[in-house]
Amino acid sequence: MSRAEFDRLAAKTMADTGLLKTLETGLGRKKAGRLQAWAELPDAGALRAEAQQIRARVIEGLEDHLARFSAAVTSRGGHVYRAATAAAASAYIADLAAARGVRLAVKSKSMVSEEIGLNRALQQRGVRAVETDLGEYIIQLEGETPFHIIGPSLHKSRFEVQAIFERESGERLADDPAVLTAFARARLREEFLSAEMGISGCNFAVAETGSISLTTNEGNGRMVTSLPRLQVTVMGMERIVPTWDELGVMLSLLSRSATGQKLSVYTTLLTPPAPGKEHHVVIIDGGRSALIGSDLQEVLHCIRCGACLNVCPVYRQIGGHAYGPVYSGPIGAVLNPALFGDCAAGHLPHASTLCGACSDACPVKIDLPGLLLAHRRRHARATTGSAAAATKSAAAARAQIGWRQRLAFALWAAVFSRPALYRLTTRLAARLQRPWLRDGRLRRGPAPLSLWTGDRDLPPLARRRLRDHWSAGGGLSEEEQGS
Amino acid sequence: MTPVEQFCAELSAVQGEARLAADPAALAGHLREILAAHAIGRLAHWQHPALAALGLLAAADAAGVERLAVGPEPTDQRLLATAAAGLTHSDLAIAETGSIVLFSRPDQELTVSLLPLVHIAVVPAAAIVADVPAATAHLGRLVREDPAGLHTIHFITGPSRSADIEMTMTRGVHGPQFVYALVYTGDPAAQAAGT
Repeated sequence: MSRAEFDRLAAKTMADTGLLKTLETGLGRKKAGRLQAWAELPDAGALRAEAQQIRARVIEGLEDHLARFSAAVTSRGGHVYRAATAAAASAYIADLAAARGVRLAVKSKSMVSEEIGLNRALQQRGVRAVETDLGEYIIQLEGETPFHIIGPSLHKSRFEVQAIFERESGERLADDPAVLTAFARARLREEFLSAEMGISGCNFAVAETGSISLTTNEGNGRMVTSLPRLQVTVMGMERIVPTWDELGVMLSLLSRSATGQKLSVYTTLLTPPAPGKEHHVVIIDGGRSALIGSDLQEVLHCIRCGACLNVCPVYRQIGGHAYGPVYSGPIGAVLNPALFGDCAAGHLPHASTLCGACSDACPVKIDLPGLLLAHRRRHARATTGSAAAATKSAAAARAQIGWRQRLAFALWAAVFSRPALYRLTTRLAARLQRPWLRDGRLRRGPAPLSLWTGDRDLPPLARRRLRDHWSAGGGLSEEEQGS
Repeated sequence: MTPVEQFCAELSAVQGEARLAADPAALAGHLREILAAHAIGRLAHWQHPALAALGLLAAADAAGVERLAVGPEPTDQRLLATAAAGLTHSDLAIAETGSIVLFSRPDQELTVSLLPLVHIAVVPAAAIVADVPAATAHLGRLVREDPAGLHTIHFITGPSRSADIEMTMTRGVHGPQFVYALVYTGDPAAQAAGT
């Protein structure tokens, strides 16, 4: 996805005031839910530190763990396929479906299956692949990609869902979420009972026993893994935990961080294959192993809870689609360029204020701002590698910024680099700001400040500046500190 | 708070319902009430010996409910899907989260707890462990001993739910809309008589 597409999709969300409000309240609720769920733990800090260490150790010894996991699955008659690329993974599954004469495959939600473009590969082999997570079902009918890692249809109002389901069924439906949910239940129940292949993801893979843990709320994951005879699990190679003890730690954090639940409704623990079933586990590299030993290794610690999206001020403004078709939010801004390359996503690490809310929210304490900076460093090194490239990228940067912003920064630089002018300007500004103050806040400032104050406000400049206090030799009064 | 009290409180916090029973008669009474409240016509159930030993199958018969005994032979899932309620027996439960844990066994078809709109599980009080790490530690031991037998384990924490439409919580998306735990605090011998 190009930089221009990013701008277009970000602007689309930013212009949708209804959606912005949904994001503000809905994601705010998710954040509050997580904080409460963490607070109910005896010692969330210690648990997060333990989880962080578990993830770090797993990635350090990843190949050994994967070998152990694969041996356990194959020793029971299950099949393991290590796919080096996304294309190899989807081709393996599509070939398998074709070889077994599958016409209908039901899927439970899996971000990695989005990553490998599995639905398209199946479709090309004449297999109908039906998403059965309610949110995924909605966006599949719309031909869209997930808006949020755990809330794919977050951007759809009940009225849009009503219209989508009415178009699909030819029936009249109420705009009540309960009615719409009941419709999806009835529709998808028939698909579950008819499907020849079930495709599901993996939250954690336990190396010692070759077991797979799935966390879901709706029950579609259970349907998919229990009804069809032919089973496929798709997993990123970093999903490993060594033993069931580490699994307990990770499960204690995953749902709390994702949705504020102590545990999601269904935790499914498969130790495949089940009797009478054929089970294939497809383990996807897709650029992950190249990150081990690099300055981006820590991104492999992620457990895909989505907590960083919920707190990100950028995600809340631009929504999920601007990040590209798969991963969004801070984790997407780090993961997408790491997996899909700078051409597809190199601009994403720059779309961040580096405020650090994401790493505070991360249950495994990934240093996301540090990883964003690592990307920026790589980018700077790459673009300043040759004089021609540097000139080209500087010109491109200037074109992106626009003349008003350049003027604003030029003025700022002129004032800020001349102490006398700075003193004069700040004194004058504190006096002259009055016409733009509303309710004690600076709103609708003069151009070029209006670019900022158009949809935000600023605190007013203090009458007594810090430098006035400083030169008077005094500290701030309590009142001034509070204001 | 005792583990039993905590289990009940947590299950009700996720919109499930726990009912305590100190003896088989009380247990059967709860089952009759639930079957009547949901006007259940057909009840799918495991052939777990404890269900008969505790008098629950007889109670269903007395309530005039048609019983569909499931397993150990392969199950007709379409037939099972016509049952309005499913009755199972839990070997493990988690106080911290209000979770009912079900194990795969030849006579324990797990879709009995999934396809019907109402799920009723008997939970022996002694099966309740403190928290998720205690449960996974225990399950890890069992799976290491018998990986093929325990090919599937489910933690069930309340009714099926989704918040995918406008982040509004709805129940019974694909799985049950109602989940009951009949927590049996009585003499384990009455239950063991069947096993």
